[in-house]
Amino acid sequence: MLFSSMIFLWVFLPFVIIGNALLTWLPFSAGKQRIRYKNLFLLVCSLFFYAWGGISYILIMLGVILLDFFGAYLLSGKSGKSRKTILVVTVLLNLLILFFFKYFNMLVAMVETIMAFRGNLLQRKFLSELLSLQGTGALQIAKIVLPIGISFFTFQAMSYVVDVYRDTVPPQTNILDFALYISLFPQLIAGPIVQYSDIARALNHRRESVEDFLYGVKRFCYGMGKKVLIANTLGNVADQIWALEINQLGAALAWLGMISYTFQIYYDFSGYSDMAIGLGSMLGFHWRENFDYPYTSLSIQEFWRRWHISLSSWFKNYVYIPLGGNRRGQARTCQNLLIVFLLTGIWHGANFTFIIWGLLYAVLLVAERLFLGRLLQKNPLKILNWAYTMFFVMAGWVFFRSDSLVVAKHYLEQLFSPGTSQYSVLSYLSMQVLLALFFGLLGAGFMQRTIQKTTKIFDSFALQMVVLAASMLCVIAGTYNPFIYFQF
Amino acid sequence: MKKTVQIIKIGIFMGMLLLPTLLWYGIKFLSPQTFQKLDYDLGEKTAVAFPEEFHIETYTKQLEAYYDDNAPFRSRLISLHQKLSGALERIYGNHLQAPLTRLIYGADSGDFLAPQIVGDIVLLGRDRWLFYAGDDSISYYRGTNVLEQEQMAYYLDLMIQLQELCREKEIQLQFVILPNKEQVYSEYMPSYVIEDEYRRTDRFVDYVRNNSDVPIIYPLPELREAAAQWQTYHQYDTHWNHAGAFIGTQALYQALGLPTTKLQDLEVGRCAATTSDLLILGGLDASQYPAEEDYAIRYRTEINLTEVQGDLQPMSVYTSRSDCGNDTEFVLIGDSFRCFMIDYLAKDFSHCVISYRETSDNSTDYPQEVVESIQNADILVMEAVERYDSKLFPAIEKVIQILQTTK
Repeated sequence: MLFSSMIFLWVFLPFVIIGNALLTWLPFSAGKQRIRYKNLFLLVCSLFFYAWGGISYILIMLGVILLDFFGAYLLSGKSGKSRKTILVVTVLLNLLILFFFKYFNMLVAMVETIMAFRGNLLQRKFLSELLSLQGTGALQIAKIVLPIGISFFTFQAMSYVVDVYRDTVPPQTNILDFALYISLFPQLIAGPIVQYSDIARALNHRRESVEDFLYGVKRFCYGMGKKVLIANTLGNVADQIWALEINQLGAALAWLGMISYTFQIYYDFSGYSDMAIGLGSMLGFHWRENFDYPYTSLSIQEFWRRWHISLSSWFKNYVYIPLGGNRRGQARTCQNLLIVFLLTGIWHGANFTFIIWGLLYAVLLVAERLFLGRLLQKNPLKILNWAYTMFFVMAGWVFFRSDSLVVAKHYLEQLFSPGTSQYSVLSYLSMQVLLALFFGLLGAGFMQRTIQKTTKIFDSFALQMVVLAASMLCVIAGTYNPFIYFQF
Repeated sequence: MKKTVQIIKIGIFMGMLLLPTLLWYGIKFLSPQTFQKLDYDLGEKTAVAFPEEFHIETYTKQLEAYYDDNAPFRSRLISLHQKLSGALERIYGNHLQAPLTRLIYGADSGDFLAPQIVGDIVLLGRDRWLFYAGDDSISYYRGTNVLEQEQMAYYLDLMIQLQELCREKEIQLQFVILPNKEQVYSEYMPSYVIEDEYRRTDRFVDYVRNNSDVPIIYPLPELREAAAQWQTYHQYDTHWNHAGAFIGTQALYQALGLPTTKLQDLEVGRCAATTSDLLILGGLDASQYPAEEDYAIRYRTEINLTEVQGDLQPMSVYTSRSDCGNDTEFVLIGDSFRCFMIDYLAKDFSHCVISYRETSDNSTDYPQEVVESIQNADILVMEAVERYDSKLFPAIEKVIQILQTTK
């Protein structure tokens, strides 16, 4: 179920809010018993929410819950080598589940391509076919459908086991509470990746307040607006442009497509995070911010401090620091950065484009660490720092958005192609697109970071309701399915 | 006081989530008449039915589709959305588009109009003309999708097979490819680079004529010429109107060697246009577009139709008998453009069978009445609008099969 669907907005969400409120207010039990009921209620709702996207997927999530709950349970009674073995086995099993569902299709396609070019692996076409990940279908293996949110909940589950191993959190003794931590619907599909330590206390001692609820309403409404009014509008432009003959785009249209996608991905993802944080706040959970105006960054390093913070923190805590972080010399730090961003790329999707996207950041971060960072710091014209950062961030999104490296390469070439194109930029502009670009630019943080007063505008409850109503209108209009008479 | 305001705010938020449902079912229960007014038809595909059978992988999707289709105040809200987005786009069209065009293309951009597509498939033309941009229509206009020689040879081979069978059975065969609206009303099209003036259909028709004696017409010149005097296609729909259909029908008669009639010799009145699909598909606010008219052509009013069956719906089979006395079995297999020709064809032939080329139940066979009509036809017309030209050929294969099995 998506937050931006009518069934969520008009059926599921009011049901959850009212149910949670009744369990809070009704005088049928007190203290711990009451929170037990509320956790159970939220768990059932969350499982229903997840099952809505595919009933059979719930078995995978339940498998992960059981694996990590009992993994941590076994850890708590052990010490020494066996403790480490349990941790390694649990983490590997999590990774196995994630890799199977996320990367098996990619593996099959690669094997099929290698089989097809057996004996001719030096052919130029082999590489392009391999990179396109189309496969040949020769192995006749059915495609695995990726369960929604698997990248998020497996990472949450692993963080819990590692934290128990490190003794930073005590193991959860109630499997239902642990299941709630993994499956809590606001953050289940698109994060933020909540670390167990951040939620452990709230599972047993949380209190909803009117202030928190209204803060949640504010975050939810603006998150919905970001997703529906800005991301979807500009996503439509990006989709249309990416569907054209990439070699024929011309510079102007290529830039419009790239800028549209740059806004789309930010407003889509941060909109979802805002909605998740808002829903959490309404239900008494308080999660850390996942985005902090990343497009105002003046270096790539700063960008990654502001973009998808929960994922960066996860990699920092569970990969970068265990590898030695920056404590073992320059060379080792660069190597660690390379590993972390290679993994970040792989985590985002099963395509070489994501790997290149991750490696691009690794190279830039290494460069900033070695020399570029100092140059950026000394540069008095900070706008140049911003232009450098945004150019590479946007170029990175071209890899992220493209179906293959070949498409990405052609797209990047078009950004600087001289001459005219058969397509016109004006074909993709409309009032709604211009408004989305305007508010997209305005809301990306420049205004908020410079003029503190502007943030007060967003406290207006009336504005929040207008944004919610406009979003609902767009969501319901999206269900319109007119009869196309002339296809007959 | 502060607490009260906070509680009111929460109440308003919850009202946004709950009130639509409560009001909707309240109205449904208390005032069914008002409910019916609110739950009006938006001209959509068939309503989504409540899923009766439980399939583990699809049930929730079906249930959500059902909810979406029956969401409270859906028709009203979709109409409101269309009104608001229409108003926004009018602001863009009236105040921003021209300065942006000048900015991008310079001061001498003249009558440049950038192609703008709304609702994914509706192209906004000049003077509020709308065009269809789906199904590769624009490539037919720009001349970028010409057929390969092998494809044309393959298609011609099928046409020749059917022609030979028709000769054997003494059926007069005629192929008709109708022009897309963009070809006839190109002056209302936005600015496109035309890659090749000698387009796909021109080439194919010439190929057929140069390599065979298969009878084929493409009445673009007739429709263009007539457009100077009559509007021949709908402004807000991709089909021709009754005048266009009349001109096309006369071009068909001329090709068949039948007597023709001039439109100016008839009494032609005006009536409201019955179709405006492009407005609906583009999500455009119909109230902002002047109502369109069609022609009411009084054609052979002395002829009476008897035994009319079927209707003018796109997927139906229409049959009629008339007292015109020429004792001709006329069969036309075509697409939705045929519906506008029925008024004339039914009056000119004593027995007409006019069928959609892709049978309504998607089976491989036509209904028995169509099969028998093809087998007994005196005249057989195979029609397709040019954007669906490739769909003509599976229909030809079906008709070949039918005639091959005729004793």
